[in-house]
Amino acid sequence: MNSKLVLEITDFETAFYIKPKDKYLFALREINFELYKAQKIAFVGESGSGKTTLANAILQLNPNNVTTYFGNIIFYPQKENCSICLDKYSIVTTEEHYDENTQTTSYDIHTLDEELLNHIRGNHISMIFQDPFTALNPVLRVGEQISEVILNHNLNITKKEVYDKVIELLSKVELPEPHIIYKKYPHQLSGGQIQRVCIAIALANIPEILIADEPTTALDATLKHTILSLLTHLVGSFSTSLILITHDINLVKNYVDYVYILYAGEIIESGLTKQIFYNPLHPYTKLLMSCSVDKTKKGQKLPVIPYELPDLTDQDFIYEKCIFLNRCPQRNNRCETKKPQLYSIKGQKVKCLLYEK
Amino acid sequence: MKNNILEVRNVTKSYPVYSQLLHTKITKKIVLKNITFSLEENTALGVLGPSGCGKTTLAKIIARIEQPDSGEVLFEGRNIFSYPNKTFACMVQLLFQNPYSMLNPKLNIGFLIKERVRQYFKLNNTKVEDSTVNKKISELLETVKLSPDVLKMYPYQLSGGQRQRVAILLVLCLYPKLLILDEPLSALDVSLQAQMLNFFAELKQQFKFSYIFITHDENLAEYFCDQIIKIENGEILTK
Repeated sequence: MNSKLVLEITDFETAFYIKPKDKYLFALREINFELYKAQKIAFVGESGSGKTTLANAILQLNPNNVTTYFGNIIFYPQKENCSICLDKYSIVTTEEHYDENTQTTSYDIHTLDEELLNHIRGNHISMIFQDPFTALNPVLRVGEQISEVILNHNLNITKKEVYDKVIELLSKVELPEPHIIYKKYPHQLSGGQIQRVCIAIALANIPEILIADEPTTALDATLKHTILSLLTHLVGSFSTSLILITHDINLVKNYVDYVYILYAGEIIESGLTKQIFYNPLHPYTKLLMSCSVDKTKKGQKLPVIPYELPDLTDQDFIYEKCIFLNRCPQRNNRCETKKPQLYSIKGQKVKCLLYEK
Repeated sequence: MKNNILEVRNVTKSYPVYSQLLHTKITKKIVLKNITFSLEENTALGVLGPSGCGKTTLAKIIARIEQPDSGEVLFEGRNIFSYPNKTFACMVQLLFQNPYSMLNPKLNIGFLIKERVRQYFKLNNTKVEDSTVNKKISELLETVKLSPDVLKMYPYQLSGGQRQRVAILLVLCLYPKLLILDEPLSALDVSLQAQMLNFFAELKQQFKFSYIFITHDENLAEYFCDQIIKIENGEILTK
């Protein structure tokens, strides 16, 4: 990939402390990925696989008192004219973050203080949350909520300019009569309209990265594709990188360039969208794709992934054996004694001993 | 030839629209217009339509939560409002989209299930001992494939699929003849969706249930249902 690197996550792990059990739950392990400018990637996995934990970790939104992080989340800011970065924090000119050889600025998100993190959230990295109904403040008008995000991250901007920007954003997310929508409260809008407002808030400051955490789960089937098309179109027009998080593997097919399959906190397969859909390698990916409901299977029993996710507090199991061992239809004796690594096969990466060279 | 278990005849329903300023009724919004269809025994009927088209209102009318403005709903040939409450509870049950709304967050699952099983015996005018109730509970847990460990848990401790199964168990306790499923799979991931659909199909065979399956997913409806009706703007478009 020739474009600029925006985010680099290396050997990243997240653990939550469970006080009643006095144990650690290892929610994410061995996470490695890179995100380039204007690239669209997706994280797919079933409930409890750690998708939202990963999204929250990038923005440091997991509860501080119980969360422990290992590894690095390196962010490369791309905005050259970010007034706050230049004036208030001098991020771009700070020596410790500037690499003269590559002429790039980078910083590890976990080492930043709260004030700087607040500047990054919503300005450099934005997030669209799963439930649009709880994402907005019910006692503030929609327009005020979008203005707030713009005002927080832009110095020396007049009220008129903010208003014009909000109206422009509302029309960009294809909301009819933006002047009327501006004055409405969230309860006066439908689910689809609220999600469009959330997209407008997330894109208000044209961030470098947009994390969309299950943006269509609360919407009906016809709206799902409309919202995703709008999201990917807008992201493309702003050259923003997109991290799409979803449990519906079929939904991402037409919208992203690269897919990561997450299972019980580990990336078990990754590849270009075409590779994942037409040549899935890991038994879990194959099962996940066969589970989807198809009207041609009428009258037949649908294949399911048997049993539940493994216990993520059991360190002996998660670090010594294959994480998919208990549910795998293709397991053999070696899977119980050896932990697989990510093996590369024609650009596709898979964590399964079946592909060990 | 199967008998009709349910007949919906010319049902119309509207809600008043209030003025925000004066808090007075200014007009009414018609949600369902002349809805007519019937459902045979041991069949699944899919009700399709976009959000806000009146699918849930129709479910509520059939479950007797709402009253229609005009028209009638017949269950086994009798108007649903002519049944005593207790009898009707054993005939039609409604399973909501969000299982959380069916589970009291302060009570553990064991208590919730026990309460419902006792209600079942009470409705059938049978006095039972604790051992019979416990036996019944373990039977039901086996049917919905849940382990007895869940009895000690609270709703927030369960996974999405487990919570949906507990909600189904609460509905199954009364052995209804008609089960109305209001978007029961929309919040679940593909693997759980497949598990639940297989499970609904098993129940249909085992208990000879009839289903009204409300969904906005055409693919899902065509896979699971024997008949499908499409509703748009309160009217049936196609059957």
